[in-house]
Order: sequence, then C-alpha cells, then structure tokens
Amino acid sequence: MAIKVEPQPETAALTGSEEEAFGIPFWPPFRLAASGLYTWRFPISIIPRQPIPLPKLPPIPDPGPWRGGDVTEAGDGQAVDTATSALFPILSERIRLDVDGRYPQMVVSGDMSTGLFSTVHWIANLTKTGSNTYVGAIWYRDPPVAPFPYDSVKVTTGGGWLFDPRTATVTFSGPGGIQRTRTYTYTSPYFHDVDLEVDFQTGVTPATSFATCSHPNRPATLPCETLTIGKVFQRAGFNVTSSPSGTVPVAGAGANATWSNQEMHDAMQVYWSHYAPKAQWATWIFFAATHDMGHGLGGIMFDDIGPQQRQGTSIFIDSFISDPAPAGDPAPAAFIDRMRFWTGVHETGHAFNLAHAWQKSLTSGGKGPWLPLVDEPESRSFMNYPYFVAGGTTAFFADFEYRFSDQELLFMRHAPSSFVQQGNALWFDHHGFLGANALPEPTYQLVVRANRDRPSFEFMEPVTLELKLTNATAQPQIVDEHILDVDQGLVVIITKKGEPTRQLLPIARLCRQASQKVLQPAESVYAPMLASVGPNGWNISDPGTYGIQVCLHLPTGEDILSNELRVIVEPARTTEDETLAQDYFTEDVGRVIALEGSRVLDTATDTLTEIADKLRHRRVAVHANLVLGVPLATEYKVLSRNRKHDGQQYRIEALPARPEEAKDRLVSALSGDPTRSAESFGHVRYKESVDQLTGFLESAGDAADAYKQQDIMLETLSGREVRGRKVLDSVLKEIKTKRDSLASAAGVKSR
Amino acid sequence: MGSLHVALLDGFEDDTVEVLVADQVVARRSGVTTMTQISRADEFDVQLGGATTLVVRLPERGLQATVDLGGVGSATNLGVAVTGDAIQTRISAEPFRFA
Repeated sequence: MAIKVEPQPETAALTGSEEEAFGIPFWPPFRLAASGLYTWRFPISIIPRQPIPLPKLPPIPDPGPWRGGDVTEAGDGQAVDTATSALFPILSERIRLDVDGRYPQMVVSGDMSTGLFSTVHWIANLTKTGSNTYVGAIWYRDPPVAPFPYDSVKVTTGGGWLFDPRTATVTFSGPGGIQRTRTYTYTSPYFHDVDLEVDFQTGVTPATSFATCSHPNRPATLPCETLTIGKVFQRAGFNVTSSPSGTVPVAGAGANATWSNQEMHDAMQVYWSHYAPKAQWATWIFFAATHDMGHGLGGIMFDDIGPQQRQGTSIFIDSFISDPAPAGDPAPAAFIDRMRFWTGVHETGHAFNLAHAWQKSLTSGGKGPWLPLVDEPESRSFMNYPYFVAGGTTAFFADFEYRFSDQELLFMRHAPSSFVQQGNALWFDHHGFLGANALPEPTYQLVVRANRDRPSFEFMEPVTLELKLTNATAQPQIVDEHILDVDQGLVVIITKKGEPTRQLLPIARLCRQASQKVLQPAESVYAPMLASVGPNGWNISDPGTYGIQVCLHLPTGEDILSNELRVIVEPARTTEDETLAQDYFTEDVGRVIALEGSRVLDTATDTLTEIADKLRHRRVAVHANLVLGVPLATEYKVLSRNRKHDGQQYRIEALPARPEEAKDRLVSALSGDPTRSAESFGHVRYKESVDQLTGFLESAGDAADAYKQQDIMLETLSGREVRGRKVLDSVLKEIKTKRDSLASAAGVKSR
Repeated sequence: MGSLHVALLDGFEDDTVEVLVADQVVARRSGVTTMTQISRADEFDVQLGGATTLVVRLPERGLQATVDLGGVGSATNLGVAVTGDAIQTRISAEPFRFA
C-alpha cells in the first residue's frame, strides 16, 4: 500500500501477547513470567527519552561506578543501584531476560548507552540458582574493545504478582572484585518490535496462516491452532504489528509477467507503506505468482541490493510450493497450504538475517558468522528445506514444531540489533552466532597478549601475539601439547571498526599424533600466534585499532574465552613505506610470512628483500630477514615441470642450501638488535627461532656462533620485563643449559 | 541415462566450473557465484552419452570430484556444492528446489 498507516498490534490484548511470548496463561495467583525486555533510563527529565539518531561513535571509556555512594534507586529493597558513572552518564540501558516462557534460551543480554551516542552490547549464559536468581558468564561484547570490565552477572527477578511490577536486578562482576548493580523495570514480554506488511500481486492469494492440525503428518504433541506468520515471530520474541495489506499490479513485473529481483525492489519502494532507505524494524512480504527463475524458485529474500538490505522478501505461489501432494497423501490441500506457509515464514526469516540451516558455518564474499556456527542440516526449523533432510518432506513435518532452532532464536533475540534489524547489516554479514558455552568458573584462563608495554605495532610489522593458557582449577588437568595451535581448533576473531569481522585461519592443518601433558594448578602453557595473515588474506594491514579475541573449545564442550586484546597499527611514516606497502600487502607475501619462507614465490621474495634492505631499522625488516633466511638454511624441495621425456609431467627438484646467506639473514633477524627482535617476535617465537638458528649453526659445524646466539638470547631475555612480568626462570635456565652445552665445542670457558 | 541436470548450489564465489564426461569438457561456466539466500548459483543440463562417471572441477581452486552415476536408477539431478576445500555432490531423483 502506498498510503501511510498506523501499524496494528498482531495481538491486541496484553494477555494474548503474553501468551504468545510465553505460551502459558497468566493470571493471579500465578506469578507472571520473568522473561522479557527490561529498561532503565537516566533519571533526569531533560534527557531525551528516545535515542537521537546520530552516527555511532567509538565508545568513550566509562570510568566505572561512582564511588561516592550516591544511591539512585533502591529496586526491590534488596539491592542498591550503584551504576552511576563518575564522568560520563549512562543514559539508558536495556536487558533482555530469556529464562522462561516460550523456548527459553537461558540467556540475558543487554545494551548500555555510554557516554555520548555509543553503546555496548553484552550477552551472558545463565544458570538458575534459586527461585528467582540466575548467574552466568558474559561471553560476548560488541564492540569487543568496549570499556566494559565485567565478566559475569547475577540476575535477581522481583515482582510479577498482581499489581506488583516486575523488576530485574543485575549485579555485574569483574576482575579485582569490581561490581556494579542496576535494577531494571519490566517493559515488554518481547525483545524487539517489528512491523510486517503483507502485499500481494493482483489475483494472488497470500498464504499467511496455517491450521496446524489440517494435515495428519505432524508431531503428536503439536497443539491444534491457526498459526500466522506474525504469531511465529511473536514466539521468536518480537512484538509484531501488521500494516494493512494491499495489491501490487503485475505490470510491475514487466512484459514477461514474471518478477526479477530488481522489479520487486522497485515495487517495494512504491507499494510498501513503510519503505524508507534506512534501517528499521520492518519487513515487506510480497506474495507474487512467479519469479524469472521459474517453477523451481518458491521464494526469495530479494533485497540484497544497495546499502539497506533485507527489507523485502517474496513468495511465489505459482511455483513448486504449490505442486500437488504425492499420490496417496491423506490431506492434499493441507499439504500445499503447509508448504506455502513454510515458505512465507522461511523467506521472512531471511529478512532477519537468518541463513539456511545447513549454511550456518558458511562464509561467502567475506561475510559470515562472527564465530563458526554448527550447521544444522537435519534441524526441524523454518530455515531448513523440508525436502533436504533425510527422509524428505514427510520426515521433516513429522517432527516439525513450527519454530526456529535455538541457535536462530539466540541470534534474533540476543545478537546486537544491527545484525538482525532489517536494512542494517548487509545480508549474510554476521548472519548468526554461536552461543559460547562459557562456565562461570572456567577450567582454564586464556590470555592473548603482545609482549610489549603497549600493544602498538609499526606499520607493516607482522602482529605476533602470545597465548597463555593457565589451569584455573585446584586439580591437575591433561591437555594436548598443541592445544594452543591455531590449526588445532582455536577460534581467533579479529575485528576492526567499520569492517567485516575476520577469522584467523591456519595456513596449514597438521595431522599430529596426540601428545598430552599434565598441567598442574596455576601452571601455564604458551604459544606464539601470527595474527596478521592467513590463507584468506591479510587480517591486519591498515593503520587503526583492531580487537582480537580467542575461543578455545575443549573436548568437554566447555568454551574458554580469552580477554579481548586491543592492538594498534601505527600509520606509515614515509611515502616510501606506503609505496612498499602496495607490494607488501599481497597474497604471496602474506603466504611467505605465514609459512616462514619460500624459494618459489620469487616476486614476494624480491619484495621482502627490498624491505629488508631499505627499511633495515624497522621491525618489518627483522621478519623479512627471518623468512628470507629460513628457506636458505637447508636443502629445499620444489615441484617443477619435468623437461625429460620420461612420461612424468612433474618432478621433485632439490635446491641446495645457501648457508652463508642464510646465516647473514637469520643473524640479522635475531641478533642484530636482539631486544627489538624479542619484542617483535614475542618471547616464545623469538626463542624458537634462535634455537632453530642455533641448530643450523651447530649442524654446519659453527659451534662458536651457535654458542654466541644462545648467549645473546640469554642476556636479552634476562633483561626483559613487560608490564612487570619477567621471563620465567625455567626458560632462562633452559637457555643457559643449552648455551653451556656448546661451550666446550665453541672453545669457550663455561660460565 | 541420457542427460543430467546439474545444479550448482552453495560455496561458489566467482568460480569457473567445468563438467567433464569421458575426459571431454561438456559444460563450462565462469563467474559462478552462489546467491546465498536461495543456495543456488547456476543450473544447466549435460549430455552423458553412455558414460557412467562424470567429473566436476574448479580449475582455479584445484578442486575436482568424480561422480559415479552407476546404480543411481532414475535419478537425473546432480547437486554440486563447495564446502571448505572439497566439492560435495548429491544425486537426486527430484529436481533441486530453492527458497
């Protein structure tokens, strides 16, 4: 409809709404469900009640609770609100409590408007610990570098009896005993609002409802009712309103009378009463006859056009979704009605950025989930194809409860709104996320850190970080020695404001024999991690601030989440830097750095040689020298085209070592300025590389230089102190032992 | 089996796809990209002659899969998807449908 209309609630009565949200009737003396949206606003009337729609700016650090003891709210008399900020007032907060009612996910999530127009979004899993209390760990923050120092929550619900307003008091806790407490007022049984407008091509009957018991192939426990598209989304947590329907002339489809995506997009702009080129909680659902692709396309979320996507979706009645039921079907008309209704909800789900059930882990065009999801190829969800599952359509509907999967509900209810809201995140970008199974008292502590006082890296310097995993229990734990290798199941997420989230992928996956070790309480294992580049290109290149977080999935199912490290890449210093960077940030150079050298990628090697020579005082030069030296240290095998006519197309050729050149490069990388090298490689990788150089020198019979490298390393690491941390005595002792073992061969008196 | 309907499904990103029967390229598509919202990239028919195997390859990615068509009965539809570093195929008696 082209006319502007006021949306009408899908279910007008409050009790009806509560029933849809929670699935059970509520009236005294029963206590109302606790799930729903709760809000808090800064208690000064001059503060605007609605957020001012200005661009999102980086969060301004909140210095934390006001320690002056100003009590702003007493909640239910049990808890005191102490969340007033000392410098920047928190203007408003919302939490979404999801612990009972329809499909509870045992999750609480929240948005906090901090400072001036910026927000922090957080999510915690919950465990019920009492009749009205829940505790859990915060496992998600957006932005990941937000100044939000809390890692767990305790939620206490209050009220809910007749005339007794519902409240939720949340105590946030963080490292060092820091706490804040806030009491929120119940606002709605729904987590978000959304308006659905159904328009249809002239002559087409929209299929917006379905009588669940009209077909006998269904779960025995399925309630008999008439479901609507709106009702399905109410149960997913949305306060659904519906604008009046209207017709769209088929002339909009052009001379062929079938619709292209562009033609539907044009029609949406004309006939959808809510159309606006902006993000808004609203979707246009268009029932048409046929798409240009013909009978095989039952519907499509056609709006992947332009900067505001996912606003419009369509269902094609004259397509396979109206094919006759198989011979012998007991309710052939209901079979078709069911397929049409499924398609309507399925396409509308895409408008909420839900991917297909089997695509949950898929990244396409650089867009994908924020953490790898679990594919659900057999799920009985609206987002699965009924005819794709084992057993086909009959098997699907025999178990289908007309709902979304838990993974999808978690996304729609608790993901940052920008990922879900129509017209906001692009289609398939952040299309879902995994609920990390983080425990309130995790088995391990995982730290990602840079071995320098400030996590600031020179332009082009490969960002090498260190991982530290510590047994946080009082019991010994058995871990695989390679538990911290990126190719062994670590998930590393790298974010940069305004750019798609990237996952650090391993350049190669190694098949290793399991090798376990016992980690005593408080004992740690360490590993280096090159974060800059992977097989999918450069993760860190342009100057700016990056957020890095690591998730370790244990065989027990527990997820260990690291801190969120903020890394700064400094700007280029000279125009020469910028010129060299054009050749440096290429796929081949990235591959050479990640693989520690190559003798076949000549262009990349030439670029690194030029950088090592021209930028010798920059940190990138030590990395260039290392990867130039390593492949020259030993014989190097390459696969080359066979010039002999012996029937073999390729042959393996062994390139001889170039030991003198290798030594020059490696010594320059590791001993020219050893403190700089230790800082840039990180202590763990620096030691690994010096040990590698030492072994190379030993095998070449150069014991004196081998001794010297260990001696330099011992002196360098003995003097290192980063943020008050010194190198472990056990490591220094190991280096000293190694050095001394070389003393006699080197002709040096042991010290 | 005379002809086979090939549906290119998930995982294609500006790829070149070749289908070979008896070592001959019988279909070649370039710039193949999946529309993720319908899990479809392209569809076409290939003639099999009397062949009982078929090869699908993505030469730019170095991926290849051989499909055994023996014993598939009346199935005349082949779905092809790329997952990670592998080509996945699926034979179906029913045409592939998209939504």
